[in-house]
Amino acid sequence: MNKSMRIRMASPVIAIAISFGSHASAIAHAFLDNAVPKVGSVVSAAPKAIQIQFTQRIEVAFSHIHLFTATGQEIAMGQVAMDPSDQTIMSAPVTGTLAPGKYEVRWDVLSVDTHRTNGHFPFTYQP
Amino acid sequence: MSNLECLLFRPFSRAAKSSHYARGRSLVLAPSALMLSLLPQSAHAHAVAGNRIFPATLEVDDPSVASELTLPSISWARGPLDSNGNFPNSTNISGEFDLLITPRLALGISNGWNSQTAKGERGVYGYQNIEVSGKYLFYENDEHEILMSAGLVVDVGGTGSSNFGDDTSTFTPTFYFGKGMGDLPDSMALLKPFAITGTLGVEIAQNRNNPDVLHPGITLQYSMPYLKSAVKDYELPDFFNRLIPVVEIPLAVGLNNGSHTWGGTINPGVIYLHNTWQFAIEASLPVTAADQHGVGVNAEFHVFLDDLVPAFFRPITGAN
Repeated sequence: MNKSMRIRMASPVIAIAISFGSHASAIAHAFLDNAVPKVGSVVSAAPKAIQIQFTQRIEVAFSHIHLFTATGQEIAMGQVAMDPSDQTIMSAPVTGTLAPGKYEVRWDVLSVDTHRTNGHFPFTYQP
Repeated sequence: MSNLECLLFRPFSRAAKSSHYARGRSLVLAPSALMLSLLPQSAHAHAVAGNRIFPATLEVDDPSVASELTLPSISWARGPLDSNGNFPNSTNISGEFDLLITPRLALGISNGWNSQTAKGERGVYGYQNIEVSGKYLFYENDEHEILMSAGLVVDVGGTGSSNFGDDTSTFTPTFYFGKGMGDLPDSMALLKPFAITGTLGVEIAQNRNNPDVLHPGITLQYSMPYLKSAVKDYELPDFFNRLIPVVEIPLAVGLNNGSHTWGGTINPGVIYLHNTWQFAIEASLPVTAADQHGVGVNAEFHVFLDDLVPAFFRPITGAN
């Protein structure tokens, strides 16, 4: 085996080792880590925005947050925006009016390593 | 009970775990029977369907495809009583590498090293046959958290040591499925983190003197990551939010050549799921006394290569 072939074969191994030694969570599928309002929570004030933190950095230009009532009616939301200090956090303002009841947040994101993921979670507004 | 029948008690498992089952009433088994010790294996995967992550399970393969590495996978159990009155210790250390060819097609290769030892008896050591596999994800439904795949596992005859590998091959077409319970009504919210996965494979022997073997397998799992991210965040410590308690039930039954006996194990355990890797450990409880003696242990470390090093392990062709 010549030297260049050895280097080529070793490259993935070296990359794995470097990845383990660095911030491994920075390159993976983006899954929901935390949200405001919290997943499954009951809030007494109507949220002015939906904020979601993911397990890795995302591309906000290709990521979305939608809000639905229990009957499937979509609530108006503003543009999603990235937290300028943390690329794992995105949020969108709630521009529609929320009546008391159950809601479902639906999100879909593109992670920086181009994996697409999506999900949804509930919360309840109970003044 | 013949050697053949003895071996049919072996549960469906990845071939890499076969050392547990390369056992008989003596530590030296007939090559024809040894073939059956090399049981189906296929590509473990980082399986995602909507909110649901199906972890890589140890014995009953999950339904997804991915670039990933299982290394090491270690299992230990005591075999049934041998002719010298011993319950031999069977240990297997193995690894598996899977590579995405397209976003829905993965190829895999695996091998393992086995040892069988018993007090006062000569130990048996060696590599099992190499296994190669292909799996295609043909159905994904994010809303209902369903994945279905079909694959073929080939145990390549003559590639292992004479103690643990048969000279002839086996071919195992297998169906894989996974279903999360996230679409249950909200009144059953705490049941939503449950999921089941399963496989159904028929191991076809190239040597027609050996029986073909049906391998059904099923898992039941409760995903704490799912509970936190899709049902209710109880603000538990991060460690608990990464756990997935699981029970795997790999089974096997002979279909012909006079072998129609069921065998298998029930494996309760837990998986710790990190973003790019997971660690799993399970007990192995025999369904019958002929399967193994007492409780065995399986453990493995598993890396999601397409997450850990995406630049190297993207699908070779097709969009990601």
